[in-house]
This record gives sequence, structure tokens and C-alpha cells, in this order.
Amino acid sequence: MGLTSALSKGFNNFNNKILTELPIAISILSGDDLVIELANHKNLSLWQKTSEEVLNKPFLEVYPFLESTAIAIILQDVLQSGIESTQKETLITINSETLWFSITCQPVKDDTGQTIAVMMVLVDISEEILARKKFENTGKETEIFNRTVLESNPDCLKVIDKEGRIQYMNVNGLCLLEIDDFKTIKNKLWGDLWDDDNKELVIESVKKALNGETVQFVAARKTLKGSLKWWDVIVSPVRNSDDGIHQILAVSRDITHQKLSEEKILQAHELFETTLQNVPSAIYHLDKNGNILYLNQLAAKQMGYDSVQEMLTVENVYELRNRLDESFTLFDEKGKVLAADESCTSITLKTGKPAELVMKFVSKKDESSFWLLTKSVPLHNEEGELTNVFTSCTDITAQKQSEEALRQSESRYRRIFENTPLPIWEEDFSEIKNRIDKLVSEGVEDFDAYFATRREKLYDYIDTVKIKDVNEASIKLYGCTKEELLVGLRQFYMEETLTGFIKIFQIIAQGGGRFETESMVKNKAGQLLNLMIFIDFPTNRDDYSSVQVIRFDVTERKKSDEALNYRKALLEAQNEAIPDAILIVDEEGNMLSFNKNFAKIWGMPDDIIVNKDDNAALAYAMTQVIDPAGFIERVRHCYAHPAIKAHDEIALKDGRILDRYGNVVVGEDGTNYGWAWYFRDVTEQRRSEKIIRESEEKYRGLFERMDQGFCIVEVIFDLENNPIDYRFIESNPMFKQQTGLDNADGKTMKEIVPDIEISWSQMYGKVVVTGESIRFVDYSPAMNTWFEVYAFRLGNKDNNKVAILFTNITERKRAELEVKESEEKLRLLTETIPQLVWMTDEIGNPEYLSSQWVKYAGEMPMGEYWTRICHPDDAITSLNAWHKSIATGDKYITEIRLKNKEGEYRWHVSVGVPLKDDDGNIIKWIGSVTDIHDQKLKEQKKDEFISIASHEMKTPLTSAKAYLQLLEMSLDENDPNFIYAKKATEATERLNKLISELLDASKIQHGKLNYNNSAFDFDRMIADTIENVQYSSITHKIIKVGSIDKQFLGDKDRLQQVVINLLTNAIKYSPKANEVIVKIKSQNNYLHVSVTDRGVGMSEKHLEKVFDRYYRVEEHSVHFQGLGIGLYISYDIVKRHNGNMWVESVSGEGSTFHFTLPFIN
Amino acid sequence: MKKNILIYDDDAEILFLCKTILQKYDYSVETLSRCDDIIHDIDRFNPSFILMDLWIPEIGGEKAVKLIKENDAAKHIPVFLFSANTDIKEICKKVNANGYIEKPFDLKSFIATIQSHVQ
Repeated sequence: MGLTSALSKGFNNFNNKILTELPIAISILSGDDLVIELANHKNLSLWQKTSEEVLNKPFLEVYPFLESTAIAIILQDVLQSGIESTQKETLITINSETLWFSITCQPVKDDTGQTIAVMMVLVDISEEILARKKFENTGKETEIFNRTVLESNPDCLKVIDKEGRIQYMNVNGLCLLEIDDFKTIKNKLWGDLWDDDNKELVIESVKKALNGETVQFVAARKTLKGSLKWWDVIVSPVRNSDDGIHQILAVSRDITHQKLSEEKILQAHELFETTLQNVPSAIYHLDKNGNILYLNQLAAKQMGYDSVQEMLTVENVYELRNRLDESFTLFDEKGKVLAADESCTSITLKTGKPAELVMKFVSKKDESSFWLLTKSVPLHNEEGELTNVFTSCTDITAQKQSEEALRQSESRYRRIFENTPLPIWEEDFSEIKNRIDKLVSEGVEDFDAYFATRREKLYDYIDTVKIKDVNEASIKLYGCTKEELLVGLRQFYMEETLTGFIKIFQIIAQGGGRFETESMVKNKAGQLLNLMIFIDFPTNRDDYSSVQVIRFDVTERKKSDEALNYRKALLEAQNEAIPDAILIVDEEGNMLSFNKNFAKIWGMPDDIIVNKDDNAALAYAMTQVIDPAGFIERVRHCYAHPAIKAHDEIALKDGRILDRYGNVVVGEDGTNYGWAWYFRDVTEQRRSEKIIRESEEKYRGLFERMDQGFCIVEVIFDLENNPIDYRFIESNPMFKQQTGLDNADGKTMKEIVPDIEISWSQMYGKVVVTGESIRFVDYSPAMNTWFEVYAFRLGNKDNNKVAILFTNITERKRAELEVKESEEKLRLLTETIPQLVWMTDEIGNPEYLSSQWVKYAGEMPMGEYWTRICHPDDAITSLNAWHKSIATGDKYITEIRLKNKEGEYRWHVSVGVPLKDDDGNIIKWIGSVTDIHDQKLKEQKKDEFISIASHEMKTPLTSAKAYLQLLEMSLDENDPNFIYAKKATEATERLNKLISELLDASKIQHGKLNYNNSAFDFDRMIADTIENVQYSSITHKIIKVGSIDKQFLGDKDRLQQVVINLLTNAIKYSPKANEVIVKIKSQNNYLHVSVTDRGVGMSEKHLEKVFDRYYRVEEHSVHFQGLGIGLYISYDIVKRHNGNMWVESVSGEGSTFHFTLPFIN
Repeated sequence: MKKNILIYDDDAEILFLCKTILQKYDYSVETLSRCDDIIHDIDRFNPSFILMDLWIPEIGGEKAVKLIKENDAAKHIPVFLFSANTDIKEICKKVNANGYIEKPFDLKSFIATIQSHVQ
């Protein structure tokens, strides 16, 4: 087949394989029937056929549904024409799916150029097409949307053609232009719609837009119906797809309202600027670092600079001050020199708080001076940080000078002072007086009438008045030199002046007195002056050679009064406005401007703020306040009464409180520009005021209730500034109780107590003068009272006020005196008694020693004295006892030998007792040392005697007992003599026991009783002892209860002695009973023994004394024998074992003796 | 052979009494009312037991015991202090005596004590 070779030729640069695998659907169709010669994979998959189904079959046979479609037609075309053809965007439906294809058919030619086949390439472009379609649809929607927007756009939209003719205008535009029918303007030149003033501007803008520029301009134009409107116009080209400009879009926004507001604000700004530049105050505006942002002309002038510009070369206010310091010395009102950082502005910069300061500037060159009232107001941002400072300086020199003159005149010319100190002339009226006197003597009474016909003569009279001197003020007033003034009065007088002058004659004729009139003169420059003239003609003398005349310029005063008021108003408006919410409205109540704080304080929604919607703002405010009706009523009232400055308080629903101030903004010409409303959030302020009030009440409450007297006095000084008295201003309820003075408030101390000591006034006067508070205790003989006083100055020195906190301590003082007296008595007593008396503080440091020590020891005991005078054998024990007492608080008692001045040691008993306060704390030790030497020696002799006696007694007793026992042994037990011998033996035993006890007691007394400690079986010892005692007692049964089961370390014999003593006592004192109970038990770390009898017992008063030496219960002494030393010895033995011994007893019922002993290890 | 017991006491009555009692119990008893040379006395009487009054004139009981206990030839002889002094127990320990008999004494225990200590 020729085709194959043609193919191989035509596609020789193709690799069949590649062709087959290409991701484009390719097929080759040959012959008139378009037999499918080749179909690659993509092609087959596209048609969803297999190669078997398509190959070598005519195209339309395989795809019958494509007959007469674009694809079939193009295939035939290419086959016949032999020209390549492409069909873009062909819609083919395959298996009910519609797809977009780009079809390219290329002729396949043989060597002769004959078209033998067609190669068809199908590219699926469905996705691109769909995407594009979607985009196109969206575009359509956008257009509709845009049109709607255009129509509803509040601005005036116009589409203008190349020639400048209006093609379209939106409905709102028609409304704005007040055009009823668009047809009336369609195709009209846009420029023609404008006034001639703006026509060129419009045409120009169209031209520019056609050149591709966007133009904006603002222009005013009357509408067709005649209302003037301001427009903000934007003209921009409309580009079509080929980037050509065929149309122009003009958007005109009606900014009439805005423009008018702007104008008003501009006016206001101009007003502000003009005012600031013209107010008679210097104005500074500074940033937080003191850098000068703005200042007015006067500020520059005041500071000696030629212009604002020159002054602005100064960087900041501190530098300004430094420069000023070169030319001026600055003082405050009190005459203190001010440093650069003490200026009003500096204070505000430093503290962030408003400040006010009056300063005097004294030139260093010529000592001329001027006064400035400086006020500084801080501006803060929302975070409360200082951002700016606004300072105004008002020249108050005139006022200050007046004040100064006032002061001077006060001391110099009292009368002039009464007249008001202003331009003063000293004039000689002597000649006039002579002439008037003459006229009077001639019978002239009515001087008006007299001079009515002699007008010219008046000038002669005037000329006779000699001007002797004039002051500086007068010179200024008349605008000429002093010499010129001294020429005479005539030069200033006018017809009007003369009328007043005649009145002077009247006064002189009457013999003097006050002349006062308002008159008119002209000054050097010919300006008219309104003057108040004051003359005091002497009434008490005829010498009229020196009369003071005061000419007070009322013209200026009137003017300046006005200026001052305005100045003040402005200052106040400025001062009050700054940190607050500000709302400026015009006279109809339309919002002109407001500051950030306004929106913040009110929480105004943004839309109201942005639109400056007056009604919405008011409506919103109404929803916030608690009393909307009152709120609006107040606003109306203010608008209706602009002269009244509005100030009220608004309570908001959220709990905040706003202070509202309303100020009318009035121009110099009296025009009411509107209102400035200031809102200040005073919630915190009110709260702190409340807190302060409460705190004040609290303190007041404290003052009312406190125990101390409290009063505030005003100290009265005499002319030499010596305090002489004081007046009670205020006093608390305790005042009366503490002083005994009733209704003191308002009275002076001298009025209440005429002979009060001057020292009190002097004390308080000192507090006033020095400002130092004082605390003192003093006695007032006049009041017979002691006071403890704390006084401090209230406020500054000029107040003369002193607050006094005091207590009446008379009772305490009396008590102290009594204590002193009693101490004195005690001292005398201690000096006279034979004992040595001592006293120490709580830790043993000597505080007092009676003079007996000196008598005894020959010296006052000092330092090491104790070791010097105390016997070495006693020193350690006595010191140990002393330290033990200090540590435990127990009574101190010890016997010591002290050396007297002859060097002899004598025995003393030293006893010390603690002195305790109410809480039981030891505050002192008081003691006595008593000489017991003689007594001690006697006792020693007695003990020796007892010792020897007992020994001597025991010797025969030994013999007696032994013999009796021998006898006993020699006798039969049934022999009656055996009993006698036995009884005699027992008697000797009792006697022996008594002697032993006596000896023991004597030894205990001197601590010489010896102990031999060893471990022993306590139970056993008890059992043995009971058995032993039981052996000699047939009347009582001794019952033992309990046991210890433990070894005990101690002196077994001595403890046995104790048990024997208790058992024998129990038996002895219970003659009618038949048993004695011994209980023993071990408790924790000690053992407990009790011996109970059902005997006679004893009353409570004996319980403690029963262990004393030789103590005997008297009611028993008759019936029971004994020395009364057994329990004394037992008690000592138990104590020596660190145990305790006590007794419980009921008289007639019996006793129980207890003792406890601690186990040692 | 009878054991020799040497008794010192300044009271003749006591000496007589003790001699009487002890002789009943078949002891040979020498009594002295003063002590001047204890070692000499021991040499002379060669006692098996010495009862020494604490307050014996001249040297006193304490010193006498001391001398005996320091003498190699005599220190084996039991020496008992004999006194009415209540501190006799302590003194006894102090001087290293073999024991003590307190006055007044119980006859039975007096004899028992001596019997048990006589060598």
C-alpha cells in the first residue's frame, strides 16, 4: 500500500512507538471513507474503544454519531483541500458526556502531493473551557452587582463620554443634584453643569482623565434648584479591553456638611490662634521634655525677645530659664529666689500636676521689675502619661504694684490708702484757699452760679494750683515727662474738667473734707481719660500747701476689667478643658469637635463618633445616664441661659459619676460661637473623697473616744511677737475630764484660768515658731495639775495653730511622790535598823545597800567585796544558793560568816525574797543580813552539849539495858519478874530512841546528818520494818498493800527510820483503831509510800507545820508524848533523797502520810 | 584454850558488864579504860577480838584502829568500834574497822556478833 510508504515517509522522523504513546489523541484516517489506519492509546481511551474495534474501519462506521458534526466536516475538508485546519472549542458528546476539544487535522500527502490521509489530533480542553465559562459568568454577576452598587451609591456617579457629555448618572446622583429627570441632562456637557468659576477646572479634569490620569478636586456649586453644595470630585478614566479610554467616570461626593463644619472649625481655630496671639497672657505649649512647641507673641515679648522665631531658637523651657537668669533674678511671692527647676512649668513637668506660681522678675540691668502669674496645666494621654504642658503667664505687675503701694501706703499714708493708691499728685492749694476764703468772706455761697459768669477766671484759679510733685503712675497716665506735668494742670483740662473743679471750691469753702468726682481730662497725646479724682482737704488746719490728689484712671480700669474677665474665662476654659472629655457644639447643639476622652468617657459607639451624629450621640448618652430626663432638661436649660455657667454631676448607669461643665464660647465681639462641654470622670475622686471623709470620721471618732485629751489651740502673740496666751479652737470630750475645764472652745486660756503660768503659752509659741513638736511633763500650780503633753504645729507658721495631745498625770505624779516619800521612809528605816539591808535587780545586780554595811565592814561593799568579806568556807555554798534562788525564784536563805572591820568573822543569816510584779515576774530581790553570830555560838554549844549529853546518857543506858537483858535472860518466862525486866528493857529502848532523835535533829540543823547510799530491795525493807514494828505492837495490825519490785538507791537505814517513824506515829495516834494500812507503789520514775491510820487526825492548820522541828499538835500534846522531832527528821531524810512528803488528815477521822522518792537510774 | 577478847572503854561499868557477859560465854576478857600504846597492849594480851570505844582517852578509837590495821602483826585481829555515836557506821567504814557495836546494844546480837568474829 502506498499509504504505508507514505506514512513511513511522512513520519519518518517519528518513531511509531512514540506516536503510539503520546498523551495526545492521535489518529490517522485514509481514503475517502476515512478508514482508521492508526489510533494511539490516548485516542482509543478517549473514545473508549479497542484497536480491534476501530482499525481499518471507516471513521463514520465506528463513530456514526459524528456524522454531520464539526469533526466530520473538518476531516472531509482537509482530505479534499489538502490544507491543515484547526477547530477550536468543539463540543463533542461521548457516551453522554459532553467534552470540549480542540481539533487539528493535518493532510498526509504522497510524493505527488496528493492528499491520501488525514492525521487528526484531539486535545481535551474541557477544563479550561469550563473554567473560562465560569469566569465569564462571574464577570456578568459582578457587573450586575456593580451596577446595583452604582445605583445605590450615595455619591453622584456619572459616566461621561470622550466629548465630555454625560451618558449616565445614578439615581442618588440625580437626587443630590436635585434633578428630576435624567433626560434633561443626558448628552449635556458636564462642564456646563458647573458655575463659570469651576467650569475650566471640570473641563480640565476630563481632559486629564482622557489622558489616563485620575483627577480629584473640590468645588462648590449651586444645584439647579439653587442650593450651594460642596463637592469632592474624583474623575477617572474607564479603560476598555484594548486599553483605550472611551469613557470617564466622575464621582462627586457631597461634602457640604463636612465643608461647613470644617469652615466652622477653621474659624474656631483662627479664633483660637488669634485669641492666643492676642490674649494679654504669654502662652507656652511644651512637650513632656520641656521642649517648646508653641508660644505666642506676648511670650516672646515678655521674655525680652524680639519675635517668636527668635525665642523658638531656644530649645526648651529649662534653657529658656537659664537664659532668663542672665537678664533677670526671679523671686517668688515671699521674696525667695527661684531656681530654674522651681518654675511653674518645671513643677508641672516634674509632677504632672497643674501648678500656679506668682513670680517677680527683676532685671539685672536696671532693677526694673514685673510680676507674672504663671499657670501650668499638664496634658495626659489615655495611659495617664504626661504628654504636654500648657503654660500661661499673665502680667500682674499692675496688681502687684497696687498691692505693693497698698502695703507702703498703709505704713506711710493711711488716708491715701483709704482712697485707693494710684497716680498721686502733691499739689499746693494755698492760693486757691486764700481766694475762696476771700470769696466766702465776700458772701459768695454758690460757686457754680458765681463762676457761671466768670468761666475764663477759672483758668486763673487752676493756674494757682501748684503741682509740687507727681509719682511715676501719674507720669505714665498722662504720657509725658515729670517736668511737663509740673508745668500745671491747665494743659490737661477741658470744658468738662472745669465743672468738677468748681466742686473743689465748694469743699474748700466748707472748710475741707473729702472731694470725690469722676471727671474727664485729656493726656499729652490728646486722648480722653476718665478719671476718678480723690482729694482730702484737711479739715483741721488751714495749710493747703501740700494736698494729695489721686487721679484714678477709670477708662483703663473699665477696659482692663473686661480684658481680665475674658482672659480669665479663656484661661479657665483652657485649664478645665484639657484633661477631660471635651465636646464642642455650635449654638444649635451640633457637634463640632470632641477629643478622644469624650468617646472614651461616654463609651460612644464608633459610628456615632465617625458620623458626628448629634442626635445619635445625645440619644446614646441618654441611655447611659440614670436620669435621662434631668440630663436633657439641664442641657436645654444651659442652651436657654448661656450666661449661666453650667456645672452639674451626672450619674451613669455603670456606676461612674461625671462632672459636667458647660462653657459658652464667646468671641470678643460677643458672638456666641457655641458651647464647650467638659466631662470629667470623678468616680475615683468621689470615692476617694468618700474614703477621706470616712477616714476623717474615723480619726474624728478616734479623737472623740481616745483617753487622752486633745485640743487645737491658736497661740496669741503680742506686738513684740511674744506668745502671751492661746485660744482653744477645738477639743475632744476627754479634754474636759483631763483638764476640768468646761466649754473651753472659743475661749483663751487666760479667760478660763486667769493666773495660768506663762510658760504654757511660751511652750506652744515655740512650737508655732520652730515647727518642732515637743513632748514634756509639767505642773501647773494654777490648775494644781500635772500634764504630760505632746504638742505639734498644725499647718504653717502663719496659722499659729498647735495641736495638743495631753494626759492629766496628777494622780500618777502623786503616786510617784508617795512612792518617793515611802522609799525615803524605808531608806531611813533600813538605816536605823540593826540589820544590813540589800536590794538587787531581778538578776542579782546590787541596787541598794544600807549604810550598816559600812559600819560593819568598814567599807561600802563594791566589786570583789563579797569574796573579801565572806568566809572562804561559806563563799561557794552561799553563792550557789543565791544563783539557785535567782534561777528558781525561791526564797534565798543561807548562813555565812562575814568579816567585820576588825577582821573578825561573824555568822550571819542572809535572807532574800523576790519582789514580784502583778504578773508574777521578779522585779527585785530584797534581803537582809542579820548577825546571828552570838546565837550561832550558843547553838553550837547547845549542839555540842546535846551531842555530849546524848553520849553520856547512852553510856548508863547501855549498862541499864544490858543488865536488864541479863536479868531477863536469867528469869523464867513465866516468872512475873520476867515481864518487869522486859518492860524495863523496852523503856530503855524508847529512851535510847529519843536520845538518838534529839541528836539527829541537832545534826540536821547543821546538815551534819550523814547518809550512806546503796542499792537495796525496797519491798524487803518495808516488809522487815513492818515485821519489826508489828512485833512490838499487839493492838494494831499493819496491812501492806502493793509492791515496788525494784531496787532502790538510797540510805536504807534512814529510810527505814522514816517508815518506822510513820508506823509508830500511826499506831500511837490511833489508840482506838486496830489497823494501819501501808500502801506502796511504783509510779513512772518514783515510788510512793503512804501510811494510813484511823486515828485522831488533825485540823488543816497543822498540816504544813507538822514537819517543823519541835512542832507538836497542841490538842494532842496532853495525850501523846514526844519531842516533836520524829516527822522533822523523816521529812529531812525524804528531802535529802530528793523526795516529797506530805500529809492528808481530817481531825477525828485519821491521817495519811505520804512520801515519794525518785528512782535514780 | 579460851579466846582472848580485849575491850577498851572509858566507862568502868560498861567494862565490867561486858566482861561479865562474855565470861559467861567462856571467853577470856581483858578490859582497859585507856589506850596509850595499842600495839604494846596487843603484844601483852594477844587478843582474838578487840572492841574499841570510839572515845577512848588518849589516842581515841579511830587512831587506835588505824594503828592496828597498819601493824602487820596485828592487822589480822578483828577490831569493832564500840560507841553510842549515831555516826559510828560511817566512822567504821572510814577507818576500815571490821565492824561496830552501837550502844546501847541488844545482848543477844552483842554476843552473836562477837561469837561470829572471834578467831
